Amino acid sequence: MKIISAFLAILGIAALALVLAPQQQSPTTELRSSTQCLECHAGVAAEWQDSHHAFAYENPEVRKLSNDFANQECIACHAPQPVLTFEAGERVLARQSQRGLGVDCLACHAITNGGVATSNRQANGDAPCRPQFVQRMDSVQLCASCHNQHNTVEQWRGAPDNLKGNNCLECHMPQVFRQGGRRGRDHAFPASHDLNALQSAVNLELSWVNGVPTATLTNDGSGHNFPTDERSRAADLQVQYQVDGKLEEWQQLYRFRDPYRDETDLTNTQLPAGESMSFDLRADAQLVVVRLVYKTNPFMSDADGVVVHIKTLANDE
Amino acid sequence: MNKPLPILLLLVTASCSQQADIPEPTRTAFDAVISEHLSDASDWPEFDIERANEILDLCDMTVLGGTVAQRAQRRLDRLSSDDIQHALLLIVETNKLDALLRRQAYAFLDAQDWRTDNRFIPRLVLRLKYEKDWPSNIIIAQTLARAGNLAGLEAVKSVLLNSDDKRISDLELAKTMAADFIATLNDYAIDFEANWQHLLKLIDNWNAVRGYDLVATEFSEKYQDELWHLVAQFRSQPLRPVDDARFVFIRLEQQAMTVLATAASDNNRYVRDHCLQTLTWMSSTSRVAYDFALADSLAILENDHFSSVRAIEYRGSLMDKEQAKFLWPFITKGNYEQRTAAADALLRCADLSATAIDALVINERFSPEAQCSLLLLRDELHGKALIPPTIPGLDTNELNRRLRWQQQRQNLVAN
Repeated sequence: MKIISAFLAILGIAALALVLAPQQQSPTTELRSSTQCLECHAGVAAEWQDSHHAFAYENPEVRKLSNDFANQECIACHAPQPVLTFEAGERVLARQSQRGLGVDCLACHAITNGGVATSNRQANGDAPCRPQFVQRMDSVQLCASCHNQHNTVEQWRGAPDNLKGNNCLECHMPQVFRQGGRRGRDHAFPASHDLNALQSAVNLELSWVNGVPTATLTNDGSGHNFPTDERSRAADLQVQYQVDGKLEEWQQLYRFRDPYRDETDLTNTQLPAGESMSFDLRADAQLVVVRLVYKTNPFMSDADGVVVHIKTLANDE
Repeated sequence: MNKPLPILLLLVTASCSQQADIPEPTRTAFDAVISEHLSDASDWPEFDIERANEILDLCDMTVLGGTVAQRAQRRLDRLSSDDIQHALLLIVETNKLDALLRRQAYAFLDAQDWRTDNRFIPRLVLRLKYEKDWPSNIIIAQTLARAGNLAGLEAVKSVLLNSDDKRISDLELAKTMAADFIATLNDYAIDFEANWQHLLKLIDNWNAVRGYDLVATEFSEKYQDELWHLVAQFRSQPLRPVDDARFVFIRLEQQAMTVLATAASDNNRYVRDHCLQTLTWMSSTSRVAYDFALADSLAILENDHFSSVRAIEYRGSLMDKEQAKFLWPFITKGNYEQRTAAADALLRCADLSATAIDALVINERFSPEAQCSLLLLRDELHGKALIPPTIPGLDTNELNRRLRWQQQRQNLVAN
């Protein structure tokens, strides 16, 4: 009887221990999908969900340009395997699962041992996802795996020091303070789809130079060419004149763009970091209006583009 | 007190097993297969575009007749076939603005007797990707066909199907050339409709077996060297050379797949990945690669952390029921990516007992893609009508791919 009582007591204690054990996720939970991250990192996830990283695989613009991903080489960067499983700066390969999530949490954070990487040196390694500090998280090498396919990182390397910042993060993952005052990096990745980012990349000036109205576009805010990355991106500088009280149609002054390889009659007209380009305008107009229209593909109408800057100059004489 | 101990141990073990580490992925040590082959492989001659233009001029002079032509021919005879091939290819690869000059270079390439030296084939196949001049595409197709490669016939078909369009220069000329060319493929028959039907048959046959009965491609040493140079492009960090190599490989004769089969065990993970992926795209046509080397090496590749998913995917692309027994363990024991690849592969092989799939709990342990494949397969095994499953998180493109795979396999069985 004593034996049975002792057995039941031990069994009871064991059962109680199991019931009272913290019901947190096992630290060795298989990291399958970025949806697992949402539970603990809702703030970051909300930023990411509005980003073009989240939209990378489902973006209709991308679908069109990649022939609905029939050009399968595009999948590698639009639904990548974890970048950190590749050598620093080397290109990524396509993953098999959850492609709809695009460039998701695991794409940048997952590491080969099943945990995740962070740039936070004080990371709590006991958390379910086993975060650990990885130097490369703060490095351009992390972004280079995809963003150097179109030479953006090379352009950055050749940029003037005052425009480089420390790395990609300074401009594209600025510091944010989340709920509870926690400091972090913005996972919305502001870039060419963000008007503020576009406006801070280049500066448009309209002034009189030796009696001639002159428009000057200066790449004084980005650490790479403008526009950069995809060859499809175009920035059109356009002018409109007011003559005899009437505004004329918009006229194209210049297109900043790296052409597709089969556009053999075009050359690369991107504006490198730190450089300016000036255009003489008509001096006989009463009013000169100049605008910079950013387009995510070169065939886009002006109306569908984004007006980054618009400046006017009156002829008071 | 002896009996409770095992139970207690069982409880402790059960709780501990939840904390067992995910096993460190296996990293197989592969050999430098490509480097070994490249060390013996010959390169193209080294000369610039000026020299290439001189050689083109010589070719041009040979058609003038008289002593000028004889002298030019003598000078050409002193050159190797590599020199001439390289010169003409260099011109078409670098001269982007002058379509007439390119046409001339293609025509001289076509006029040579390349039966014994067909190293140019991969470089000429790549021109099908970049050449925008329609008459030039017909000449390319003609040259390739004479060398036993029918990859250019799709371009011929496109030219003949294209309605008059003022934006395409020399479309009418290209159509005439195409009509003449398809007649030569059909014993110079004069009935266009019969020639057209013959063209379609040749394309179908080429797509199915990558071979051309009338001209057997000699797999020369130089040609093989060229293939090793081509597969080495898979190591490139910029994607353009990778994409070019893939474009060419999927348009070559089936012997070329043996190079992919061998290189699939190279020590470079990108090479392994792209070799397997290229063979996967070729689907059951790539069986020759499986029989040549992959039947043995796939088991090793499947256990390599970096190549496993592609190896599993490749098994599925063979659309062969025999592959299913290798796939099932990955459904039950594989990691998330392996489970997806295995589920997709099973959908393409379609050999799974209804009992096994009924016993399988298809839940979030599987990716949306894997769930889709398994559900499609389950419905098919139960003879249910094909209704695309609705799965949260499944991209439409991914659903369509799986429906397409299922259809392809059913078509294969039906034929």
